Amino acid sequence: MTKHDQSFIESLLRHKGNTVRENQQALFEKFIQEEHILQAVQMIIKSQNDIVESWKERSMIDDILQKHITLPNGRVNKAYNFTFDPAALGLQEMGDFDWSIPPELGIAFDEATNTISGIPKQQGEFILSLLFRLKHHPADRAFSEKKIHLVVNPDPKSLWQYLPSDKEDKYWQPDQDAVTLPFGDRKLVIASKRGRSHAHEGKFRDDSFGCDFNTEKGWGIITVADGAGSAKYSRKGAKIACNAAVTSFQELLASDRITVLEEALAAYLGDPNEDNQKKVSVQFIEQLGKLAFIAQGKIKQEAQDNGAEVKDYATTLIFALVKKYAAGYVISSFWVGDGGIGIYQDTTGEAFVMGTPDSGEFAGQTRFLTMSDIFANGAYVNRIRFKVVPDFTALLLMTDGITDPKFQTDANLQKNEVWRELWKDLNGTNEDGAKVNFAGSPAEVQECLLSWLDFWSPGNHDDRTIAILY
Amino acid sequence: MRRLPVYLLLDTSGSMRGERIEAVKNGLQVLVSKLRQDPFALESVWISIITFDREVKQLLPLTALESLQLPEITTPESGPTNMGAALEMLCSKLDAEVAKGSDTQKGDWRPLLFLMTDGKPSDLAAFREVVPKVKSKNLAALVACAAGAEAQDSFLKELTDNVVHLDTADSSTLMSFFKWVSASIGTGNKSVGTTEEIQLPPPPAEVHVII
Repeated sequence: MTKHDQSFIESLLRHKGNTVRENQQALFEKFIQEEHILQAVQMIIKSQNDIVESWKERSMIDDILQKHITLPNGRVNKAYNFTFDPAALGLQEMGDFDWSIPPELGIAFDEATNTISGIPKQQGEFILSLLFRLKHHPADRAFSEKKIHLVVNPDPKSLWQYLPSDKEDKYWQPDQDAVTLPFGDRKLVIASKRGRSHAHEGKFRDDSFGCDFNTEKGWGIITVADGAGSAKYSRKGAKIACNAAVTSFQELLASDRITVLEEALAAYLGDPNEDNQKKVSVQFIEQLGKLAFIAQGKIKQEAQDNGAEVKDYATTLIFALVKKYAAGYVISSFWVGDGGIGIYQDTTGEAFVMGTPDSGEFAGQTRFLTMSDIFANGAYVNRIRFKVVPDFTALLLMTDGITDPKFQTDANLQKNEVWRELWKDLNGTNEDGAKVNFAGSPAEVQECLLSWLDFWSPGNHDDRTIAILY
Repeated sequence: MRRLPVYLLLDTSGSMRGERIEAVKNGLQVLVSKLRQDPFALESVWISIITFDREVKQLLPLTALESLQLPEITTPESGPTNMGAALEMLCSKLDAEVAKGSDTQKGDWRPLLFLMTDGKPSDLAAFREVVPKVKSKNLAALVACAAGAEAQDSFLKELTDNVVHLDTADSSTLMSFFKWVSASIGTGNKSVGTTEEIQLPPPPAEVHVII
């Protein structure tokens, strides 16, 4: 009997109200040497220890079960990789462990690298099991089980629906449209597609475009417009704006106003001094301003005829008038709203952007042709630009469905390198290998450009329209 | 990448304890699950949750829906409803978390705010002081929901024209409110003029619009 056992018996007797009297010492000494007493003491101490150990173990397992562990959310078709580091997660007491993951999820635990990885196949909320033993547990001990939630998001690409728009609607227009047009010694292609966000809800394409080329006069017009997503008749507003610009352009060519403009232009091309430049600027401002103003008027008229508000037809508008002279191409433009217009020269890798987009503090905010103050106090003067270039690779007009994903910011729209990227992109440097072969037939170019418009860009699913004069 | 920030301001004062807060939690769960099925939301929506009782806490900083995991929501036994302080926190979070457009940075979509209470602001002076500040934040939508009989619409009307009332704050009514919230968030992705508010979808029958 150890000292410890002896004091254990003494305190047990004391606890039960029995004390070993002074004169019983010899008796007690003998008592505690007896085999069955010795064994009983061992047993009691062992049982007590078992209880304590059992509790400690239960409590440690519970600590692990209660520990809040989150697995990062996965996404279908996107590689998942999570390194499981028990110590970092505060699971120091955990010994052997294994993961039980339903095989149909597409991810599995790899012991060698301590990672849960794979390509998730199914979306939803799943429960994974972390099977574990405590550190001091022998290897034959049964595992405890901790359930851990895993969220697997769907692949956003799989969620977009393609619902046709309502053909019976009075302002219906096709969900996609394109055109090619011989344009003097150049070619024009325009392609326009309804955005995924609209297709998903069976809504209309709100973008529109228009063009014309007068072989006799050598002048052509290209225009794109983007109806505001929040305005219910904006597709009609965009269409009216484009049509009106083209019609007024034709009227301009038929009138003597074009003669006055051409005279000023001829003087400027002959001698590009400041005075001549001013005169030609005045002409462009007057004539292009008139085109835009008439377009606004037509929309107002339509609103009035239909008992609607002008803002229901809210649209942006970009148009350019182009003519080739011996000195080069004269390009003059009007731009209200977002999107972009630029003249790109691939040999130098330089772009000339014909103005700045109207953008607000938050995304999606812009200004519209339909706003009453656009023409107030000559505010539109800055919206009109003109430029003479000896040569160019492409003149591009785009709605924000293109400029948002391709340029991201207004500052980037002014950067040559981003225009170079865009041109490479159009020529096949992209994830999908979508290439527009500008050397091909106009029909082929049109088809390729329509396919190119399907490019994927997270969060950018607006209608996309691009006009390329090449 | 354009984000659509969504701020949820939730009353967690003592009166919300029990069935109500459980209903709110279920509602949030459904809100998140529904939004995850919306491809636009999945790529664009970022959510923040601010709770208010005696204390005001941002339980969830503005987080992408895709990586979001709902936090634990608890309610104290009793105490005031510091809605004013919550709106004050909202204003500072809007300033800190929402990206404004500039030449070199793409702006976020205009944020949406949904506030839910089953009572009224206890810190009325602070509430009235912060209301004009919230209004100046140019939110795309500001919806206040008065849930249950004790909730008072009149104070919420000072904050926004979009006040909805739930006759009862039971789980099925709250659930229909949260479903409506998720439908409203789906409409946030629209080009709009600089000050116009977005059009909210028509609310379900249980959700009354207070005019």
